[in-house]
Amino acid sequence: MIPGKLRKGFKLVYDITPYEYRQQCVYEYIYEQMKNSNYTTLSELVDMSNTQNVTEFAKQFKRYIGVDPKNLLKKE
Amino acid sequence: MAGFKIFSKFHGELQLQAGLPKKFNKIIPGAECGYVAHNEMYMAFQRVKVGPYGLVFSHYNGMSNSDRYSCEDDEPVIEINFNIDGKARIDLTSHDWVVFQPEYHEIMILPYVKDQVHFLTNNLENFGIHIPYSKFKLLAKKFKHLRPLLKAYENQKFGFLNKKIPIKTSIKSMALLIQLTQRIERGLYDQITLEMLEQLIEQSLVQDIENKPSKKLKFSYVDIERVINFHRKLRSDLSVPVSIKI
Repeated sequence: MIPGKLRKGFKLVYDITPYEYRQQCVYEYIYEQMKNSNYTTLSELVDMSNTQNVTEFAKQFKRYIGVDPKNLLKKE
Repeated sequence: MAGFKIFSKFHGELQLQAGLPKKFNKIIPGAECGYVAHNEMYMAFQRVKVGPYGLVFSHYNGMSNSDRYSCEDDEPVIEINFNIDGKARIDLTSHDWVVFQPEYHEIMILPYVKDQVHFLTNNLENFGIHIPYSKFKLLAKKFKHLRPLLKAYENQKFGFLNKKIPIKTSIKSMALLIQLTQRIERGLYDQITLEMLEQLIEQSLVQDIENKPSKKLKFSYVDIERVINFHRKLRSDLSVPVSIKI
């Protein structure tokens, strides 16, 4: 299937673009990691996402999960 | 499959045998199987139950387009029949000759079966859902468009949801059907499969009645299967950042 058709088909079936869906899955995964591990800084999590810096990561995390990631960090 | 008979215009009644043809690989675990083999062609039928619903997977291979086939069954049926692959002209118990294309389906009430088929392609693949009367009664309470069909069934008459059968299957229904089939092929006859099946029935009815799918969208079952596989791929390996370029 041609790429454009795959993207269109994806949107028609799941009501979301492939990019948005992947982002949603990634941030849900990071959220789970944060709950189950002792992260103390956001910079430790930036690499797991497609973002370049902590500010962008925090913004995207809040967008997909609805929570400020700083509030989920463990206190040292 | 007692009472189910198949005929060829040129060769008369074709004997239905238990089991599946040799080299047939689309096997449904735990299905009641029957097949007809004649020269190079075969027709394979697999029937399973999911909750109260009967599901029939039919595969036709090496069909002659010069012959005309017919099938007969005494049992009344409330059926949604999806055409997955291949093309045929069908006469549903003297309703009328119509072309049944891939990605189309039909919803019908048959007090008995006496269908005629003229295959336009060598292969044809169908998936049929048989809805029990008790369930159809509940559906007719929910969807008023089904009430004439319920009446037809109760009076042992023929009934079709749309005058112009068959109907284009929506992309969402195609996706649901593929996922349902994949579960059944893995032998999963559980509550999730049953819920998926009931969702497919309702979704098909709602879309047929309220939002008729666009005929302009050209997506085959193979295309939608690729979409589902891509969805799975995006969900996997979340620890590894990937860039999505499609």
